[in-house]
Amino acid sequence: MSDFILSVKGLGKGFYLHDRAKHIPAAVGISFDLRAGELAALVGPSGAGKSSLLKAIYRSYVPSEGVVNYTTAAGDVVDLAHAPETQITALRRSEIGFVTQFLHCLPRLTTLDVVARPLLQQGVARAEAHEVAAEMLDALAIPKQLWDATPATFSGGERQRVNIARSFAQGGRLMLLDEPTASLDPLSREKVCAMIERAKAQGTAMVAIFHDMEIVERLADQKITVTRKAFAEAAE
Amino acid sequence: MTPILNVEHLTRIHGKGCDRCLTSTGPEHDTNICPHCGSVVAVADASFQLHRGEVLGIMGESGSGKSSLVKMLYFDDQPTSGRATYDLDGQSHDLFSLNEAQQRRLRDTAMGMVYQNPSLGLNFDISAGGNIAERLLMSDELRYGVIREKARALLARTEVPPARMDELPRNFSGGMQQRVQIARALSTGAPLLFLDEVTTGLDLSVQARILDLIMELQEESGVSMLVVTHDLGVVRHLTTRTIVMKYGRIIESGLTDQILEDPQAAYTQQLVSSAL
Ligand SMILES: Nc1ncnc2c1ncn2[C@@H]1O[C@H](COP(=O)(O)OP(=O)(O)O)[C@@H](O)[C@H]1O
Ligand SMILES: [Mg+2]
Ligand SMILES: [Zn+2]
Repeated sequence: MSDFILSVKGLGKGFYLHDRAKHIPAAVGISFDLRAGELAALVGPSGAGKSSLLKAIYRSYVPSEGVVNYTTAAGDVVDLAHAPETQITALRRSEIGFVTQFLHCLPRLTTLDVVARPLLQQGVARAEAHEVAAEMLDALAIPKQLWDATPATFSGGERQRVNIARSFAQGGRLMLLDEPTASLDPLSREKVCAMIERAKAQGTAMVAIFHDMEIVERLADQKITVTRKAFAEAAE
Repeated sequence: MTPILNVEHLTRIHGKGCDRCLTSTGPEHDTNICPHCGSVVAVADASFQLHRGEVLGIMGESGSGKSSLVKMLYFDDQPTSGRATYDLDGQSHDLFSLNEAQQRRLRDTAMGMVYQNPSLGLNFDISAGGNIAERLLMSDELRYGVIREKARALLARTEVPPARMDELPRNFSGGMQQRVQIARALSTGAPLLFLDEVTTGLDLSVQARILDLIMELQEESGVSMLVVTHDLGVVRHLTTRTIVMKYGRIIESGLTDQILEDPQAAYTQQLVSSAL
């Protein structure tokens, strides 16, 4: 058995738009292996397909080519690119997280409940889930007086941090991060970086996109350059 | 794990039908009406599974066959052909080979349905509480005190003011009628719930609150749900997996975020982009 949590081979993602009968070229297949506690940063120019590849790993997008072998907590190797939807759903619930910039939240839930929710859904007891949630909110400097309010009314930056708190409260063996620090103030950015470092130290493997190269240098164990097929061909 | 519901090749043709109905209709023929015999192919060869605790969306435009599909599963209508099995407490029920009494029994005790039109799911001539009581009686609960208490608790949970328990739902707002319908559908603790366009036609703010309520109730109870809607917002809000229908056919299915963010079929791409 390999000691990789994630082993990506030749993963590419393109699109076909039927109404325009148009192919949008795939990102050139990327390959990398990731162990527990390691972070791979996807780097490349805007439009190269970094987010598309990240979504293809999570299966929000249908991968066009390649294999995404993920080793589950139980030790089974699952090709996320081809696994049945019910298996993907189960892994998303318990092992694989995705951090986007946007928080879709139920307007009736308090911030504390929003952050605790994935844990509650996993069957963690309420008190314990709230304890973890509080710890995360605290670590990201969300003021205590906001914890009982719904994030639906928060500023963009606050919501983003609540979202990150939720994702890290849920934790998991593999986390996929799409620009988690974008548009945050320097202090919050530092807190998020510290949180990522802590999760790495606890063994979470991560694939991440940061637009800030300083953060890439600080957090990444490997850099995966992403280029679009058309770009690559033009450059040859 | 066995799925709670396994649907195989379900077909419903309205009209006398002919042997070319299925090959002459569907998305590639741009119609669900057979040009040879004039029959309407409401659902053709639909196969899918609903897993335990799953919320599965059935999405498509009006007339695509979504309601027809669910009506058959709830015994409101009979299939022309096909099969469906319902796994209840480890026992598999072959839905369309049960006799009428068995079907009624299963529907009254182990299935719930919430219709777009509350007059289909509610008895408008008895009180809100009475509507719940009626369903509890059908499932063999006969103690008056227990029934009354259960009805009160259910209505409270679906946010119908207790003071209105003895009023006729006829006089309620659309949103309140849906809450009573939901309470009634949930009253027997059935593990399988069908929802057909339950928020269609309601004010947006009322829609959002009802969707939140459904979501909360689903999480509390783990009930498996089949959610029929033409509204992409409902699909996004409630479901983890989605089936897309057109002219009675299932043309695509996938994880809901994938269906909405990376639809594969031409029709789904058009549906999603026109909703943006
Ligand atoms: N009782 C019926 N007799 C004839 N045609 C019907 C009947 N019920 C439904 N249909 C037709 O079947 C097709 C599917 O309808 P329906 O299931 O109501 O679609 P949806 O719920 O997706 O809007 C439509 O063309 C509809 O007109
Ligand atoms: Mg309908
Ligand atoms: Zn015909």
